[in-house]
Amino acid sequence: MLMQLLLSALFLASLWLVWRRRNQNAVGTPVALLWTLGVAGGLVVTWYPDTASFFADLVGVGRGADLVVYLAVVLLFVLVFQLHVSHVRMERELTKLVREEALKDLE
Amino acid sequence: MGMKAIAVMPAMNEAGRIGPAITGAFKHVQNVIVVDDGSKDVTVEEAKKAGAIVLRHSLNRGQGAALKTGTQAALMLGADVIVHIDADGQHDPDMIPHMLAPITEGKSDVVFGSRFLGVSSEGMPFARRLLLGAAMVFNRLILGISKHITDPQSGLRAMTADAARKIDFKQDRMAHCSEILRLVSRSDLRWMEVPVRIRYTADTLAKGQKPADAFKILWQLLLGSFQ
Repeated sequence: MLMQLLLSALFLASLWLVWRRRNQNAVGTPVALLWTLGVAGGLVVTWYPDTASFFADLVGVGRGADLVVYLAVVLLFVLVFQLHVSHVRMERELTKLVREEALKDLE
Repeated sequence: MGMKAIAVMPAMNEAGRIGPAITGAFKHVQNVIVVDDGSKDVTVEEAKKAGAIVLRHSLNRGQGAALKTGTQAALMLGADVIVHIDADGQHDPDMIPHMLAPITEGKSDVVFGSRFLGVSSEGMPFARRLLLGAAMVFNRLILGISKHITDPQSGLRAMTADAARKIDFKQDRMAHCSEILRLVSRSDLRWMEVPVRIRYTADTLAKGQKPADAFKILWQLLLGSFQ
């Protein structure tokens, strides 16, 4: 019960944060909706763990908890990769800036 | 020959080596542009003393980034032919005329120096040879680079100004070699390889690429393809 309350609090806090960012125009509505869907799924699985087992059965994974872990790993991978790509983009912007500065010496 | 050739040398901490490299290059080109990529030693002073035009990256941005800065500078200075050459003396400057000849004769737009076309490199370690073989297989299978290219990581290359404008490489660090090969072999530019001699010394090997860097290059190419 304690774990469920803790998880629910975390989910609701993240939901609040996502919509706050949405109102600040930091994330788009589709992204916010996607997060809401994810959080809703998380809440359902937290309070009715059998639903995870139902989906696990559907896709042929042993237990519901396993399915949740697998999905979490995939999600983390995507997020980390996105982070790397945005990092590379930022590095290239930095290079452009440094290059412009260096080429000024030529003028 | 009438063509204005400019050599571009990216350099980081090459004090003691860059002076002779510039002097050697000046025998074959009209100008040398050194792009200092955040050196902490007297590279800049030595390069200026040797007569090169020196540009400075205020932050280290990598060899690919420095090459691109230098190439843009060469274009701004009205170069007809641009030669990319290392600042550490590994590339024998006397190879430059061999690189320029196919371009001045109008036979090629881009010329790559290859270490595997008959002229044996001095002191190339076996591990390096093995790694280059693996890189070549990767280039062919994954990047789709022409199988006719014999040297996957050649840093010595020459190109016409038009070719330099067309080859819009974006990799800032070591992956630029593969990227340039890929861009050239997929364009309508005429390219060829000429045999060159590379001099490996304990000094340059210690500073140069490590076998583990191959994985970094793979990772950079992968990330780069998502831009």
